[in-house]
Amino acid sequence: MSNTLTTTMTGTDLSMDTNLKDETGGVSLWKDAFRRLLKNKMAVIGGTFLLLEILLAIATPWIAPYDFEAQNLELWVEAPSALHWFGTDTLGRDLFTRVLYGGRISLMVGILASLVSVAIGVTYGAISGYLGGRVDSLMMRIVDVLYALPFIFLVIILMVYFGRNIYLLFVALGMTQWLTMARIVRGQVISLKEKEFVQAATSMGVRKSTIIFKHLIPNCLGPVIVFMTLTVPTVILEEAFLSFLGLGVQAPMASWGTLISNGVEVMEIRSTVLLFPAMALGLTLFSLNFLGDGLRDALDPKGAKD
Amino acid sequence: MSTTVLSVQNLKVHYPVRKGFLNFSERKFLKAVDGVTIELAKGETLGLVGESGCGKSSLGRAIIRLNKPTAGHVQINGVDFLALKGEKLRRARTDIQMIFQDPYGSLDPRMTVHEILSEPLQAHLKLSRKEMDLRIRQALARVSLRDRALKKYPHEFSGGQRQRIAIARALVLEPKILIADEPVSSLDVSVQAEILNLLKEIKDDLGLSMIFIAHNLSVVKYISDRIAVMYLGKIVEIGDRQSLYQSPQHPYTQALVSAVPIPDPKLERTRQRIAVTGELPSPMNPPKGCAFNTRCPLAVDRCREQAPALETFSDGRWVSCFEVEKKKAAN
Repeated sequence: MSNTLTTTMTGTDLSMDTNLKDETGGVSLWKDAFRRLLKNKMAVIGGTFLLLEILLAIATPWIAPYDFEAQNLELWVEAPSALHWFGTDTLGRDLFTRVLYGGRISLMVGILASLVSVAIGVTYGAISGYLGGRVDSLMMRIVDVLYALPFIFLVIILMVYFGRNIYLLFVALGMTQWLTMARIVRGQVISLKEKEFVQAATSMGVRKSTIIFKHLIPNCLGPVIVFMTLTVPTVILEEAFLSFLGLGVQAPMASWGTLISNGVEVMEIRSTVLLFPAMALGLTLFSLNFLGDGLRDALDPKGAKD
Repeated sequence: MSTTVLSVQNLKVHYPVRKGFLNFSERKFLKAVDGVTIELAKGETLGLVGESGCGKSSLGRAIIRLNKPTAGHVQINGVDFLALKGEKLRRARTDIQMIFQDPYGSLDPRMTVHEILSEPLQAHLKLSRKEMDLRIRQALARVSLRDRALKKYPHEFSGGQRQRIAIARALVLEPKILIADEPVSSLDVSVQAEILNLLKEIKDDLGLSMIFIAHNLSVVKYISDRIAVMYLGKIVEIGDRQSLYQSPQHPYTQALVSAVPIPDPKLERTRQRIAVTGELPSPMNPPKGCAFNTRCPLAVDRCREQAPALETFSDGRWVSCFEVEKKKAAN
């Protein structure tokens, strides 16, 4: 059907159609961005390292050489050896095992809390920016007020009220992190809603919710993803801080934050107890930052050179 | 050609302009559209011309309710379009669709053509996948794009192809009225002709009524049945395409028509241009009296005091100028 129709039409437009390389399907902007990301060496290294860490974290119960709470007080802060790769801690527990388990907690907190903050922040920001006017002012003043509250105060209240619970920790950290996300998304949405494709959708009678979720949010995911890679390390650090205060992960469970604070105590006797968890955390943060940088460049169409 | 599908009465679009610190000083208004009355018959194309900033786009956007009109009425098939709210407004929007100027901005870069074309259908109709596919393919065929375009993304197309996609999207709901806001001005000249022919063909096939907004007189002349000339938010002359071109009455129309190049070098050399001097006055601060008096070669004292109304000049021809009225009275 289309053949007979196309042959009746003439014009340069159609001949250009055949020049397109891709015959089967389209190249989405996401695929394009991914291709650009692969060209960035540091981002690829960072991404690979993170992927490896996540795999290790998932596999930890099967690959960990020791039980994470098995104590052996005769092996008090041993140096790294063939039996204990990272040495042992102040209670003679295998540090390698504990770093693996700590990574599980830290990464889980980082990723889940970031997802919580993204879910709240993106929805809130998009609605605020799209509706505009008084609703927008009100919603943003609420954000301002929350900004003014010290986050630790909020977390402490949540933890005390609902009891200490690792999952609640995700929610609590996520709930303190969504504010900046909401502002970023709101700004994006305000500029996006003036775009003609959004106005076209409005004039076609597309529902507001559809416009928000199908046009506005997908088009501001770039900055959201970049900001998320920066939220993950913030959350990991905050969890370390909370654990240090005794509000986070409870012993004998460990996160990188608690391992580091334990390591600090014996740093003068055996620096490796501090060094290994600190390196694990440091390398993760570096990787996340490199990946974030790479993603920002890859998703920004203006920075695209090819 | 007699049934009116769209009637716009005394439509005004005034944008509030904030001046001074914390809004303490007087509120000023930018009068983008200042009392426009037009009627559009079934199957008719009305061309809307004027220079940049004369309010022609604001008028189009106000009719389709992308801008909030300050005053006036818009009736579509006898229904007061401006009084509609919420779900009723959303439903009524199927009757009137718009084609935007920039085909790079009017298509969501993250959607495939299939998604772009299915969006209006999903918003209004409950169709099965098959029916939807069929309608999308029909719409695509109408703008002579191939089916395999469906899986592609807007950035994989040229400007002309994108504008075809935008036209297909506007048609997929089978509207009665189409507002084309400078649909060809961002395209290549060769592609412009294609899109114009396509629009003309589609309009005739489907019996659409169209408001065609442009600043290019040749383009408007080619596609329109009637032409309205706008200046500073007002219509200064409106009339049948042929007669408006052959005997423009308003001094502004005369200047516009005389500025169109003739594609024949011999005739082109003899073409007399009526130059309009000076700048377009700011719509924030329009001149007193006739809006055109600051640049008009015929302006007299009365023009600086009173604003002329749009008066019938001849059959179907309306002009807003004291001098033209005088001339008519003398005949």
